[in-house]
Amino acid sequence: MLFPTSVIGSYPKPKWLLRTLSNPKASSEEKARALDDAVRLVIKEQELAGVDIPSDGEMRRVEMTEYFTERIGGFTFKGPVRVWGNNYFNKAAVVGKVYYKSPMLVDEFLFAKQSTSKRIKVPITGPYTIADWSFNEYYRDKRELALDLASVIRQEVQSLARVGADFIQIDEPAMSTHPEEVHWAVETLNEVVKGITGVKFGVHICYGNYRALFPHILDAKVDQFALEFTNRKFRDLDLLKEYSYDKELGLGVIDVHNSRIETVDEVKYGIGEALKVLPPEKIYVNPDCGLKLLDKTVAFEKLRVMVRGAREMEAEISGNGKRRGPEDALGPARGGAWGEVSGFPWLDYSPLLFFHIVGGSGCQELSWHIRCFSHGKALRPS
Amino acid sequence: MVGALPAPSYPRPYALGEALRKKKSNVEALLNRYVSELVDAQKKASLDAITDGRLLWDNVVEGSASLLTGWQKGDLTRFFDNNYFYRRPIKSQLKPLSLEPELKLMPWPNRLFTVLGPFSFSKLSSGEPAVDWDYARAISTVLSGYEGWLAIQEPSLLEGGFPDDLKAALQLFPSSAKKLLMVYFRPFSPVYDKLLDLPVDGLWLDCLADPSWKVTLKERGQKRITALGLIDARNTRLENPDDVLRAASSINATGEVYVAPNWGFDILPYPVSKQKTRVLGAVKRRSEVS
Repeated sequence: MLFPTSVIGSYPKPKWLLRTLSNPKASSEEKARALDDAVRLVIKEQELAGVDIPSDGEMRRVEMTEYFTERIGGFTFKGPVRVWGNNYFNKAAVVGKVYYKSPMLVDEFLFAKQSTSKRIKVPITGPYTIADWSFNEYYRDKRELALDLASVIRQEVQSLARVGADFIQIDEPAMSTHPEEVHWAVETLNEVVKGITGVKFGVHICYGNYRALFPHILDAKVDQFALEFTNRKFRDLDLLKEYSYDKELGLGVIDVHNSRIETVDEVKYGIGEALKVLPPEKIYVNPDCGLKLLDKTVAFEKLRVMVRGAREMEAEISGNGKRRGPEDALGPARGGAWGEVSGFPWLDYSPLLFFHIVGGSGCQELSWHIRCFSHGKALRPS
Repeated sequence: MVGALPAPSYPRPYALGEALRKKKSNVEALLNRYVSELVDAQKKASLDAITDGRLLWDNVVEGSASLLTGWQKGDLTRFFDNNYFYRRPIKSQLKPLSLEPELKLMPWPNRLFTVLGPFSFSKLSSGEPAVDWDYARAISTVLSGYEGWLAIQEPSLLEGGFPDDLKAALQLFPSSAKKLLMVYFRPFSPVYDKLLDLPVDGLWLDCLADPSWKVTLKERGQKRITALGLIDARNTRLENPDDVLRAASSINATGEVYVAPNWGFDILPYPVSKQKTRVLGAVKRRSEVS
């Protein structure tokens, strides 16, 4: 298959999940069940959109570093810090030597795996970003901290590999913000993957100056880099050409910074630009970054368009496709289903319609849960 | 003797952020409570200037722009290499507003106010490495007649491209203010001579970002006022006041010397910002008795 489609990781959380998690009267069992339901739902949504390699949407993670610093030894929290506007996160402080306590993502992966027959991508925040987005009260410098964190993340990756995870994406958004540190940041990546076989390793980097990553980034012993391109009008593809990049590329073709839905032709244009630099078998197709800040209906529709663009390009490359005019760019995704699913409040509130569209076994229980949550309860069918 | 200055801005406490986000009715009450708490903390620490913390400013870029009309919010943009973002101002025709509402929050005489300088405003809004003269004229009109400490933040000066006309632009800023030009996040030594030549009363320097800071200050002299950014605004680790005082005392001061944070406390947890304020006070007290 050419141009396999995937996601970066995060997906918008359903409103009923957020309500349940913030409800002081909800029991821990109810919250756990809501999380399970949410994972099933977002995986199913990705399947409906046609995504080949879904993730669990990071439903169980509050924030990409906080989730890990809460579970790695040596960290403490001293209060929320602001990232922008009135958005805060609990930035951890390292107050002792960091150490691995117990698996952090294994249960998450196993649950996702049993919720789909598709290959699952497991995103994990990388050691450099955890180090950079933490206060360092203990280590002499950031490099020393990041190398110790690499050993911790490596243990987690080993745990994941043991239970069958075969596509792990190391998220390193901080890596492009300190050009002078990229050379040793790559060392930490290599420490994470050292000696682990049977796993495809991707690295996701966003929000920064990609030129600063080169040439050191080419020394990373990983299979794929998933990078944002749409937000930069695909200009950075020139960098790949300049440095004779020959790894797989997770090509970002969906802008996650605004809610405008790309057209199929725009997606195809992005893939076409990448084909000027890389052979088709090296190109995976994904959004620029995680989708969690988008409205859920927008995220779904963006994925659907992304998949359609990839499939049409595949058909054209294989000689089976025919050129479409731009007027066709937002037509039905799959045999007329589009008309039924436009509007989308059903994804949060209307389980019966959801069941109707999805059909098949395995979804009935899910639809029951959603119905119960939409009435503020969490009950299992008898 | 070594004095002590507060951060030009303090972190917005989470409760205030939540109230603002949810547009709750208790925003003003919370704001008054936290400003009063911060002012008390600075007074207890006997700091030489007092700020209200600029708690309603999202950041210094948008905060400075909020003193003007004729711009709108653009893309979310990273503030230097921090995991901290601002909305890039997209200007049309900048016009000054009144400073009075801001000063009502800081009625005390030794107040510390801050704005972004005209070069950094240009770099952080349009990306142009040049003085934004529209901004310089408008913001200096806003500040006209201002009395008190004024920290003019120009971090972009350390990224290369020191503009020749910055000197002329800074001449527009009020002579009634005690003006400190503030640079941070990169070594200042390479442009120190140019900084010394600027028409301001003093320099506020990020010593933590410059391993050569002591040599530079000793060998190349100092302005009438030097604020030494020795308190790390990007890390929760609390400094030892004796170590800070020792460092501050080592530069053969030729003018007034103050210890200070190397930047605003914007990205520290709120409780830590108060602890660091106490450290600043402890440095000053030790200096007085030594």
